[in-house]
Amino acid sequence: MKGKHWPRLAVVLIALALVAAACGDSDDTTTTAAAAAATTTTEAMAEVPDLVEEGKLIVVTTGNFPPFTLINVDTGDNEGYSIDLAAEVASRLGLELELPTVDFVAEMEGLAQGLYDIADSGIFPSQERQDDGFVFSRPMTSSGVIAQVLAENEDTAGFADVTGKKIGGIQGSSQEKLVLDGEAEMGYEEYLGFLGAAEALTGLEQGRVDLLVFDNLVAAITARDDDTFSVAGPTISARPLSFTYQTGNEAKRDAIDVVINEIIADGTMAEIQKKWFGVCIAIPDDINQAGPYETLAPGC
Amino acid sequence: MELDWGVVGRAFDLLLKGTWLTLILFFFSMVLGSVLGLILALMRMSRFRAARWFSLGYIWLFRGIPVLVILFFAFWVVGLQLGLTPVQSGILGLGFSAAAYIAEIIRAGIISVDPGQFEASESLGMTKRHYMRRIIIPQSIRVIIPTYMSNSILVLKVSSVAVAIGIVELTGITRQLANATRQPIELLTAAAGIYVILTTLLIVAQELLERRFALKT
Repeated sequence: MKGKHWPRLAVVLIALALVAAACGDSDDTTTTAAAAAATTTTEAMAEVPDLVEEGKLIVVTTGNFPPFTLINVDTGDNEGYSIDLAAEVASRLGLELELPTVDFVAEMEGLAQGLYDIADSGIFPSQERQDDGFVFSRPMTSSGVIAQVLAENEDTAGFADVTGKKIGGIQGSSQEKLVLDGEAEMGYEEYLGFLGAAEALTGLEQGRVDLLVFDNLVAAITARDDDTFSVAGPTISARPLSFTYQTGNEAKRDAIDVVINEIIADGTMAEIQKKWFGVCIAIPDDINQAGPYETLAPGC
Repeated sequence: MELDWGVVGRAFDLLLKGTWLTLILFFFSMVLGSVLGLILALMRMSRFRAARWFSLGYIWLFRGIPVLVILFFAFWVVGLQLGLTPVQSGILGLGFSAAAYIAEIIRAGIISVDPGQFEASESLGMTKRHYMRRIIIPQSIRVIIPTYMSNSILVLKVSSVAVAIGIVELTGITRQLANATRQPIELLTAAAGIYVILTTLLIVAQELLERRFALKT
């Protein structure tokens, strides 16, 4: 049994396994022909430099952050605010849109390796991320942090006073970081990190925590769609949201910013915001602008 | 809280798609794990000291590291170097982890065969290669099947950890849909049901294999 065949057989089988597995991956990527409805901007067309693949715009999302990006339970399609926006941009540039989904860490890592043109699943520009090798588009919307509570508690103070409260959140989220970093001055009793938004909301519903530290757009849409939940208290820590690019792609970023400006100016951005968030959301002028934001999308 | 089971029906096709990816992960990591496991088991009983030590070291290391950590390593280090897709990294991680356990399962089967069988084969003038294949391995299979199949069930279930490296297998799609619909309990129950069906099939396979290799009296 210790013949020469075994190593060779092993190599063949490993190769077979890896090749066959590549087939299983093909479903991860959805190629969508750019939406037909929008008008084509001739000046911006064919002007986008440094695309990962010629004629294509590859926008990576997690597919797991409603209402920015979510998998439709009936169709299996990736949809949401980020997806509609990406489709609008690709359509105006005459590019074919490709929408791979990976988890958030792999999203940023893959972008850093040059696998994708743009990462977008509710990402906000931060100095830390700029130091990590990312650059950002002009802001397209803005969000803050608010307390998601049960409807019966909507009159409570939210993050204005969390003394003695149990706070829940999503593991690894920027909102979680805000709570953990501010532990000393906030004076809450305990923090509990859940795996995702669904688990966190279930935890709130079951009374394991008193409030959740959530993105205010996500919290507002949850409250609108589900009577069980509401929001309470002030929005804290407002900040812009942008497309994320790999450093060195500033020319590509600038070319696409031209189209984003048009999408904001003609009111299309406001339509996409209303469709997914139910409201129009302030758009800061630049990524370093401190909140609260007054600028509203035209058409609001 | 009220449960609405209609969501399971709507999500059924997507859950099946996730199940298919779970099966791909399971099948190929078991093929990889079994081949490597057999090689490691034979190396562990080799007359060459280097082979014995290598095998011992591998089994020690891979049984000592949690599967999640092995998967991260397969994805972020090995996968990055070799340019592997997440699924390929997942198969590599799960397969290399399973190999350590399978090696010990196979070795346990081989050493369970009465030493008299080895001596009798040698006294008949059979070569080691010959008697291992014709005398020892067939007898050891009876001992190997139950533990090997138990380990297979573990590998099937532990493949759910692959969600951590971005593979949207059964657990992955369940979590995505739970977030999209905010109905985690209904969808997790459906996923649990599918896992039970799959492990039941493995248990039936074990029963059939045991009968096939049972001593004929």
